Amino acid sequence: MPYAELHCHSYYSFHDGASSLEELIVRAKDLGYRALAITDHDNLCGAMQYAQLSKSLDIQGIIGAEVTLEGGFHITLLAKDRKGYSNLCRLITAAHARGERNDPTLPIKLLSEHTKGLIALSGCPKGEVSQLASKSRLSEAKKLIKQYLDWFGVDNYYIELQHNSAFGDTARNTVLLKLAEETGARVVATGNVHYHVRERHRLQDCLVAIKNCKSLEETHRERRANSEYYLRSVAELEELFRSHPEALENTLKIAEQCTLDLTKDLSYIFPDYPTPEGHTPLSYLEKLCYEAATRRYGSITPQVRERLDEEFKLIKKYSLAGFLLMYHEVIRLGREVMIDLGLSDPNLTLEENPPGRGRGSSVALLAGYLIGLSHIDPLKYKLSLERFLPADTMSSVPDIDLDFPRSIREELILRTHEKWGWQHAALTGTIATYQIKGAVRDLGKALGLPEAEIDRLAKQSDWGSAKKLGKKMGRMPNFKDKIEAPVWRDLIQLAAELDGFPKYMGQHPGGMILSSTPLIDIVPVQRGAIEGRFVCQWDKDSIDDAGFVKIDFLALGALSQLQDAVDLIKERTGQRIDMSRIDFEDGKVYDMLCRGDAIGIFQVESAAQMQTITRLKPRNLLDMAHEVAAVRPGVGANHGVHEYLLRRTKKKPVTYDCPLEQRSLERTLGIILFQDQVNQLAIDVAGFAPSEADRMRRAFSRKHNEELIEQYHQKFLAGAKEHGVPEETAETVFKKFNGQYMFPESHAFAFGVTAYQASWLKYYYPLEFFVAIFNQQPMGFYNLETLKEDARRHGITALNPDINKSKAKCLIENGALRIGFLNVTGLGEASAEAIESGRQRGGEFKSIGDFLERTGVLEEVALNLAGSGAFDSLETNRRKVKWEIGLRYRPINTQIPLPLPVAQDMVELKAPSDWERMKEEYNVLSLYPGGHIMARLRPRFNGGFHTSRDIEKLRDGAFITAAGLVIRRQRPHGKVVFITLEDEFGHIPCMVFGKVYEQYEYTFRSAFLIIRGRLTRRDGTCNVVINKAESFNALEKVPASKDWR
Amino acid sequence: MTHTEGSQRLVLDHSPGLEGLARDLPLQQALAKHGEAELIHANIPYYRGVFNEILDKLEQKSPLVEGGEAGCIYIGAGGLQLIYPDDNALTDAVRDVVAEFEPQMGIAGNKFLASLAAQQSPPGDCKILNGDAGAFLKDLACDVLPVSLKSRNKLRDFGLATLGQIAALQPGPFQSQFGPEGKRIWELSRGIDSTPLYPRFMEEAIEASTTLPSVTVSLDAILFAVESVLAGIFAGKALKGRGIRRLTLWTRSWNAETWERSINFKEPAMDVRSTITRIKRTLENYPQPGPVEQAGIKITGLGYPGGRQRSLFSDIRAKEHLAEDIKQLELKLGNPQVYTVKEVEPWSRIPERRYALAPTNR
Amino acid sequence: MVEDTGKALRPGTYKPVNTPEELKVEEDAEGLPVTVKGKRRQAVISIEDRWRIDDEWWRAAPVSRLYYNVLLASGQRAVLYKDLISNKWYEQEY
Repeated sequence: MPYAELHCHSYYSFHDGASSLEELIVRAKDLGYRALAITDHDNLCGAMQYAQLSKSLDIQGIIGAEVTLEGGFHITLLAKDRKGYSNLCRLITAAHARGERNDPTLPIKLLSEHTKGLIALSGCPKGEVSQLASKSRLSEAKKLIKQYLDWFGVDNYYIELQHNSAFGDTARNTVLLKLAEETGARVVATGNVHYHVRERHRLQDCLVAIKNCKSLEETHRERRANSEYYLRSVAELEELFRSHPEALENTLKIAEQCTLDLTKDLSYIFPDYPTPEGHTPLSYLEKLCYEAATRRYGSITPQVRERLDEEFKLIKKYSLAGFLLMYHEVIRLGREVMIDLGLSDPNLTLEENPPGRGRGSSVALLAGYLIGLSHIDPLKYKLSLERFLPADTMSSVPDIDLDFPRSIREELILRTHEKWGWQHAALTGTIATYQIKGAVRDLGKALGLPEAEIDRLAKQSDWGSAKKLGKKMGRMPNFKDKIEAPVWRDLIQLAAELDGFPKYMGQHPGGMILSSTPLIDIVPVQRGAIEGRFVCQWDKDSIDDAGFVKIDFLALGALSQLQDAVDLIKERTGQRIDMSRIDFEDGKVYDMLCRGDAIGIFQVESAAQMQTITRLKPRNLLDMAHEVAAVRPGVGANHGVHEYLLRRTKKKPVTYDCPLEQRSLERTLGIILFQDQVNQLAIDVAGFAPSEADRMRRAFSRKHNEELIEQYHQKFLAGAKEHGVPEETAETVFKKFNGQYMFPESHAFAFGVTAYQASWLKYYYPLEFFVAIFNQQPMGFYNLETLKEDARRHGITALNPDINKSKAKCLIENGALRIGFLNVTGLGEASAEAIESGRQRGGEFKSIGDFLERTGVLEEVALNLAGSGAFDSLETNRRKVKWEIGLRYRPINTQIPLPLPVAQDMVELKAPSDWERMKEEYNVLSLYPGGHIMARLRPRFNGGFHTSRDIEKLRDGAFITAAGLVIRRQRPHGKVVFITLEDEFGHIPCMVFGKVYEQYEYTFRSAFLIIRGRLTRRDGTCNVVINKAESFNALEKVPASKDWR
Repeated sequence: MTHTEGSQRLVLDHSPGLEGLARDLPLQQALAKHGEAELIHANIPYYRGVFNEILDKLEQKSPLVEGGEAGCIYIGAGGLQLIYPDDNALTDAVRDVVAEFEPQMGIAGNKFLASLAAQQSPPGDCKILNGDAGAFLKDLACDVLPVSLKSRNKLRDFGLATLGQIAALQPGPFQSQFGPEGKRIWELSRGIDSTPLYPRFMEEAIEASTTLPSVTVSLDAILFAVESVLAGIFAGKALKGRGIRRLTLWTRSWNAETWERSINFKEPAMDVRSTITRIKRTLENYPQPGPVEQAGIKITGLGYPGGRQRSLFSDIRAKEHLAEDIKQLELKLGNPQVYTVKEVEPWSRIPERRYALAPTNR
Repeated sequence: MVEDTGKALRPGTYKPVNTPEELKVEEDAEGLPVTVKGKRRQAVISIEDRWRIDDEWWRAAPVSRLYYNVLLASGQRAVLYKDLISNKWYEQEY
C-alpha cells in the first residue's frame, strides 16, 4: 500500500532533526513513499528549498510545520494551498512575536482564526490530545478534539497515531483510537521522523545533548528512547498498523488535498511606490531623471535623451518604475542618515554625494546613475544596455545590491524598518552552519571527552569541513593515535555527519527584503537579536528562489574609506573631489597597479590578486573588471585565471570548445570569468530557458546537492544534443560549471570602478588614503604594521600618539600621519573623549599629573599610553612615566588617580632601550611607527641571508635564504599556500606546495620565519618557492597576520 | 602538567625549555604558546601522600618541619647543635630520609635565603650561605621573588631585572609604588626575611572510599555511594564515639580528574544523615568535572558532641531500637546485613538502574 | 573509556535491584518469542506489547534491547527482552 509521511523533521529543526532535506527526500523516494511533508519546529526556513528540491526530484513535497502552542503543546499543521500557506506563515510569525526570543508560543485563539487552507494533525506525544490521553483525562480530551473538529472541519483535522516502539506507544494509541471513534475524528499514521536512516540516531542523541548544553550521559531523560525515529519501510508501517489500515490510507487522502506548489504559487508582487499627486511611478521616475540630468550635464543632450528613451521603454515594458523608485527611496533615506550624522553637506545634491553605490545590472542604467543608484556614468564609459540588461533576462528581477559605508548602515536599517513597517520590510535570515571547529566542540562536549583536549583539537583544526577531521587528526602528533580509540572515533564519524548542519538562524549582515503586500503572507518573520530588527526565516538562496526584491545593505569598509579620504582632502585643500568624474584612464595609476603596488586597495590587494594583476596589466575599467572577477574560487577551479592570462598575453590562442560558446565567452577570451556567462552558456549550448539556467547555476552552490546536479547534468546533455553538440563536448562544457563563487559581470564592473578610485586616491593623495584606511581598521588584508610600512614607501611617516596632539582617530599633521588614541590597546571611545575634552577645556597638558587629573582615565589606559609614547613630549623615559602613573593610583587598584604629591617617591630608572620600546609599541599599538622589527633583528640575519631588496635583483632559479615577519597566509583553492614575509625593506612573496606545507604545518603558524627556497620569476611575478622553514622567536605579542582561505 | 582550581585548568609545572610558561597560567594560554606539548594531569592526592610521608620521616630529625609548596620543605635547624654538630651531619640526616630523591639543599639564616641557596645547589648536594647576602643576591633575577603576577609584570615594566637593582633603590618609593608588597619585595632583595617556620602537627585521619558500580554523573548515585561509605565509617570503630568536625570529600573521574572539597561542621556530625545533608549541598554547589568512578572521604577533624536531650517520643525510640538491633546483628555476623531499597535513577529506561540496595543508616 | 566494571560487592558499595536474568527462548522466523524455558517450558500465547530501548552506544557496553510483554500458556504474564547485541534473551520487570 502506498504511504505518505506527514510528520518529519529535517535539520532545520535546529538541534533536533538529524538529516538534510536531500537525504530525507531521496530516502523517501527510495522507499516508495508517495509524498513527504517536512514539518520543522516553528519555522519554514527550509520550505522554499524543499519545494525546489522535491520538484526537481519528482516526488510530492508537502509544506508544513510543527507549531508550539501555549502550554508547550505541539500540533502539526500542513498547508493545502496558498491560503493555507499564508495562514501558516502568519501563525508562525505570531508564535515568535510573543514570549522570549527563540521560545515561540502560539495562543490557541489565533489558531482558530487561521484555519483556512490548513490541515491539522493532533501532534506527537507532546500534543495536548496525546498528553490528555496518556493521563486518562478522557472527557477533556474529547472536548478538545471536538473543538478542533469545529475549527478545522472533519476533513481537515486528524488524530495522529505514532508508533515508534517506545514504551507507552501502544497504550496511548489504543486510547487515541477510542477517542477518535467516540468523537468521529479520523486517524492518520505518522512517523515522527527525525532522521532518514536508523544509524543517524546517534547524531540525533548528540543533538539533543548539545541543545541542552549537557553531555549524553546527563541527558538520559531528554533523549529519545530508541533508534526508531527514522523513515521506515512501508512493510514495517503496515505491520505496526495492521489492525487499523485506515490510518495509513488516510495519509494518502491528506496528501492528495495538498496541492501547494511554492515554486509557482507565491505571487510576489514588486513593491509599489506611492507617488505624488498627479504622477504615475513611470512619470515620476522620468521627472526625477530629467531634473538630475539637467544638473549633471547642464542640459538634456541628444545622447542623454536617446538613452533615456531606450531605457524607459524597457522600464515600462517590465513595470520596473516602482521598483527603481523604491531603491531611490532607500538611497534618499541613506542620504538623510548621512546628513543627520554629520557626514555630508546638505547643500550637495544626491548624485553629487551618493550615500551608497549600486552593484548589479543597474550600473548600465543612466536612469540609475541619475537617481543616485550607481556611481558610474554609463554614457561616458559606453556601457551598453544590452550587455548588462539583455532583454530576455528582464523577466526576472534585476538584482541590485546597495553598498553603504559602515557608519550609516545601522541607522539606515532601522529607518527602513520604520518607514516600511516590519510587516513589509524584514532582514534576510542567514543560517549558521557547523564547520569543523564547532562540530568538534559541541560533539566533544556531548561525548564527554576531556575539555582541555577538545579545546586544543578545536583550535588546531583551524577551519574547513568537519568531514576532514579524521584526516586532520592523523597529522597532529597529539591526536593521531586517538583515531581508532573508542569515543574519539565516534567523534570523527559524527563530525562528518554533522558537517554543514544548520546551527541557528541569525540575521544576514545587511540583506533586507521589501514588499508592498505583507511579507508575513509569504514567509514567517521573527524578531532579530538586536532590538528593533525583524528577520525573515529565509536565507539568501530561498529569497532568490522566491524572486523577492532584496536590497543588500552591505557595509563596505572600502566605501567608508573612500568617503573619509575625500572628506580629509576637502579639509586640507578646500576642494571636494567628485569621484565619479576622475580620469578613469590615467596611465600613471595603472602603472602603479601593474607594479603590484596594491596594498590597501579594495579587491586587488590579496596575495593572489597581486600575483595576477602584475600579469594581467589592466589599462582600463574593463580590464579592472576582469581582474576583480578572475581571482575568485569559481574561476580558479578551472584554471581559468591561468588560461585567461596566457591568452591575454598572446601566449596561447583564443579557442572555444564549441562554437556556441562564442557569444557568451568572446569578450573574456573564451574563459568563464563571470557568473552570468554560466547562465548564457546553458542558454546557448543547451537551450535552457533563462530562469532554468539561473536555477541550475544556483543549484551548484547548494549543499548536499549531488542528486540535483545530476538531474541538471542530464538535462544539459539532452539539450546540447538537440543543438547538435557532440556529447563529449557537452561534457567538457558542463564540467566547467561549479558551485564556487564567481562575480556577476555588473558586480565585477562596479567593484573594478571602486578599486580604481581607491588606486587613484592612493597615487595622488597617499596621505589621506592612509589616514582613512588606518581609521577604518579592521578591514582589508593587512594589519597596521604592514600598512604603515607601505605608507612609508609612499613617503608618509607615522607618528606615535601624543596626548597633546592626537585625537581619537588618526589625523594629518604636517604631512604625516598622527596615530590616534583609539589605536592604543584598552583605550575606548570614552577615554578618547575624556582626553580630547580635557584638552579643549583647559588647554594642553603640562605634566603627567595634570593629564591624569583632568582626564581621569584608568590606570591601565594611562600605562598603555605611556608605552605607546604618548607622553614622550613631556618625559622621554617611559619607565619613569609609568612609575609616576603607578604612584598616582594608590592604593593599588584604585580606579581614579589621586592628586597626591609624588615627588618624594620618584626614583631613577634606566630608560628602556630601543628594542624594549619597540616591543612595547608592538604590544600596545600593534605597530612600530619608528621602523620595522626586522631592522632591529637584522644583525642576527646578516651573513648568508637575503633581504627583500636583494631578492628583487636576483634571477629566476636563485637559491634564497631569508627571514621575516609573516604578514599573510592565503590558501585560495587548497592547493598552494601563499605566505608573505615582510622585512624592513619590503615584502617577500612565497609559495608553499602540498608536501612541504604538511611537513612544516606547525612551523608555518609561527609569526617569524626563516625560509629557504628557490626564486621563480614568471610573467612579471616573483615568488620564493619554499622547501625548508624554521621559526624563531622575537616578540611576546606580534602583530597578527591575516589569514585567508 | 596541569591541575584544576575551581573550574579552571591551570599549569602546575612544565618541562624545562618551554618558554613563556609559569605556574598557574591558564591552560588555554599555555596551549596557545605550545600547542604540541603533552598534557599530564596532576595526581595531587598521590603527591600529597608521598610528601606527607617524607614530612613524617623528617619530623623524626627535627621538631620544626614545615611543608611548603609541593617539593619544598623548610627545616628549622636552630638549637640542634647537640644532635647535628656540623652542617654535614644535618645534610646527611636529611639525605637519609629522602633517599629516593636527590634533594637540593640550602642552609642560610632565613627561609628566603635558604630556599634560594637550595635552588642553586646541585641535586644531592648542599649550598651554605654565610655572611653578606648582598653579593649572592645582587645578580639574581627578579623571577625568584615570591610575589604576585601583577608585581612581577610591574618590575619588568620598570626595567628592574635583578635583585641588586631593587636593593639599590630606596624602600619608601618602593612601597608607594607596590603597596604593602613593595616593602616585602625590597626587604627580600636585601636578603631580609622574617617569616617564621610553621611546623605541622599530627592529625588523625580516617579515610574510606568506594568505587561506583557504574560510572555516572548522576548526583544521586554519587551521593548514594558516599552515603554507603559514611555508613561504613559510622559502623566501624575508628570514631570511638566522636563525631565529624571536618572532612574532605573527593571524587575521581574516569579520565583521572580529581575533585576535592573540605567541609567543616560547627557541631560535630554524629550520624550519616547530618553528614550527608552537608555533603549533598557541597556536591550541588561545586559541580563535578566529569563522570565519576570513585568517591571517598577523609576525616581530618573529630570531636565530642555537646550534650543532647533524648526525645520523649516513642517512634524515635523505636528507630533507636531498630538501629541498636541492626548494630547487634552486624557485630555478630559481619557488616552490613540489613539493606534498604533506595531510588537511584527512578526515571531510567534501563530498569536495573532505577533502584539499589544500601546498608541501612543509623 | 567508560568500562562497565560490574564490581564484586564490597562493604560500603551498593547493589542494583532488578537485574535481568538470562532465559532460554525459542524464536520464530521473524525473531518473535515462541517458547520460554524458565522453570518449565511454556508456550507464548500472545505478545501484548513490544518496545525497544537503545542507549549508551558511546560506552563499551551499549544497551540495545527489544522488550516483549507476553502472555504465557499458564496464564502468567512476563516481560522478556532480547539483547540485540548478544542476541541473548532475559527476563526483567519493567
